Amino acid sequence: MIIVTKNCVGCALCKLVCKEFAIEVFGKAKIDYEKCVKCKKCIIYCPLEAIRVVE
Amino acid sequence: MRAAIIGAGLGGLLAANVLAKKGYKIDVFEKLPFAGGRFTNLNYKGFELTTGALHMIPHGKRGPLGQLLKKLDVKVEIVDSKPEGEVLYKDDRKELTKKVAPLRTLMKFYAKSLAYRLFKKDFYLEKFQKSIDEFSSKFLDAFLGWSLSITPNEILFSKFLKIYQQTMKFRGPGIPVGGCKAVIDALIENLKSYDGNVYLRKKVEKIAVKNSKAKGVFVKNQKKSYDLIISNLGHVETQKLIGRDYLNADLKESRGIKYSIALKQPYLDHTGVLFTINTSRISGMNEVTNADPNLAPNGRHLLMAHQPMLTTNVKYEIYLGLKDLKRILKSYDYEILAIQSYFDGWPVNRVKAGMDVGIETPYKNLFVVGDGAKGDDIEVDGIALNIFRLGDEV
Repeated sequence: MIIVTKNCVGCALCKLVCKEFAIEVFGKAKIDYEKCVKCKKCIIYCPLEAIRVVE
Repeated sequence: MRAAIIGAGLGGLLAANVLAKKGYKIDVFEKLPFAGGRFTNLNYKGFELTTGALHMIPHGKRGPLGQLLKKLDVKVEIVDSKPEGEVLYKDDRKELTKKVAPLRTLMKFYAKSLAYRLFKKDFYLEKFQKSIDEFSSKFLDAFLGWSLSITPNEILFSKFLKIYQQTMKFRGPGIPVGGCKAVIDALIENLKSYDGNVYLRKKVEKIAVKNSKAKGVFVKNQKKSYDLIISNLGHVETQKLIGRDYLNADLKESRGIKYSIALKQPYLDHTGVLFTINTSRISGMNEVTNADPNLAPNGRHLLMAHQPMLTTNVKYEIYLGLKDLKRILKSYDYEILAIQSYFDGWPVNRVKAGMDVGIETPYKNLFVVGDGAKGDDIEVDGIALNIFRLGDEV
């Protein structure tokens, strides 16, 4: 599962790179798990390493 | 001679180009999968949205960044704004000229400037703000909020005076054709002509130092030796990479929120800045598609609005910003494409304008550049100003 941690500042780079439009940002990123295909692009682009995979 | 640049943001790439021109063999290390840091674009629904900055160069092609790009022979087209600015006050838009402020306020400002030059007695700008008329006071808030993401109680009069002088000397903004990314792409292309390298997804984990010299950097546990090291991460992060605190100052970042707005009809219909001074939070906006229509899909416009963050409650700040936008754009059909907040490790500026401590470190071949080590000017023009200094030092 991909989660957003408290390190997120809401810069929205994850939203801009998500091709599935699965992320909304209003002060902090929020993932729509119905749309998320787990491509992990959001994790790679996050400058603060605030998005992670957890088992 | 070999130089390592830590961070492929604007400051890092400008430094890389200056040093490459001086004959250094350059390696730029960037932890992210793209170059440009907070000064580039990502395409979202056909709109070129920025990773941080506005698509804007504060003093256009005449200012320090425009001059540096020209000196480096980096090919970027910059559209200088016309008008330079407007002011929105009580639903009325007026062109920004010296005449919008009462003569009495201007005289007070010149008197304070003269007194500072004579007696060097400094004070926070807020003190001056309290002595002037309501319109000028609100304009000061909007100007500082838009251009520096700070308030008058956060900047000394002397520092503001320098920025004012730069603005009077080089004048108003410009918009790079292709947006921020056009500047970054051109810098990378120019660097490659000197056989410089930009390595993406290569995080520098440590700076190796011995006595008063920086010896090299560690990337993926491998030490690479360099004659010169430039950090684009600001002094605070650079200290962490060295493993030793050398700063005596408590450097704070500037915080802000940016709104990227899609419109079917233009709102501003010009390339300048609109300072919004009857608002709760939004301090200004620019409509970049009036300079470069390719920053949005055909027939659409991209309006960018900015506010400083005045409290630590981000959601509350956004709520107030959106309320302002609703009022300003009440008769327009608009869509908020993205709300981006900037603070902590991804701020507006790593150090608030006026608080920068210079590019030097205790290590004679290690320098800090970028928005954590700016000169006394606005945003990227402040960055460029200290890259000129780096060129003189090295």
